[in-house]
Amino acid sequence: MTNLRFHRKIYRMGSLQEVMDSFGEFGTFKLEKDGDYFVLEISDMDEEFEEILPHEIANYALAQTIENLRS
Amino acid sequence: MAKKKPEILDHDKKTGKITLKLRKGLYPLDAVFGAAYVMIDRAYVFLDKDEDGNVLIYIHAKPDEPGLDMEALAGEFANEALGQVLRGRIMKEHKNRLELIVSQAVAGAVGIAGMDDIGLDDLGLDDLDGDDDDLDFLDDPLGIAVPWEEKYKKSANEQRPDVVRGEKQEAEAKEQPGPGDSGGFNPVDNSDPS
Repeated sequence: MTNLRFHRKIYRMGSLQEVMDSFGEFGTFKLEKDGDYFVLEISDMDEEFEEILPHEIANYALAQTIENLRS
Repeated sequence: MAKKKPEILDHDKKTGKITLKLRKGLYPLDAVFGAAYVMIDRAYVFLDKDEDGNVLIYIHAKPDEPGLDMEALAGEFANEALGQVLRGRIMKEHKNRLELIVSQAVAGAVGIAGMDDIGLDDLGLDDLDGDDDDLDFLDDPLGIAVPWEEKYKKSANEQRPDVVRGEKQEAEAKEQPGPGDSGGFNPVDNSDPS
């Protein structure tokens, strides 16, 4: 299980929701608030993608946040 | 004195991960976003904030780019962030001018493109559309190319009866002998009528 902490002043909740929708087939996702952070818990990941998936998710979350801000 | 340039907090050469710190207030978040967006195809970029509000940037090399120089990449990130700051300032300063230019360009394009939507019917140009499509450029329905002499000689004779009469009289006169003709002696009969 992996936890990613996204600062609430940088990442948007809507963008993280989109992340969960897009990567749904690669694992189980759970999103919670913890102070200044959104905590995305990723479990049941395929072993093949375990190393790379959190990074890809973080990149995707950042890209979605930026695109949502610009649109 | 606090450092103003982006600071490399950590560089793990083993994992290929570097951490940058941007002082709070120096770079707007939009500029950081812009720089990060440019970089996400080559590296993994993760943003955070520390307790003082400074922006932390974690840059991690992608597996398919193992030889990436992370310090050079960090420098590139800082440069890009600076460029984004400048771009943002220019946009803000010249916002009205830029909007005017764009709106004029769009209005001009719509004006040309919109002619297709208007349709010839709206301009009352039906008569010019479709009726004469069968005409070739050599056709001359109004007889403009016909020589004047040819045109008016024929039509003038038809319209002027005196010319027709004159010709007719001329034709009849030719049939009867004139004074100079030896067309026969026609004596006057002076015999006594009683």
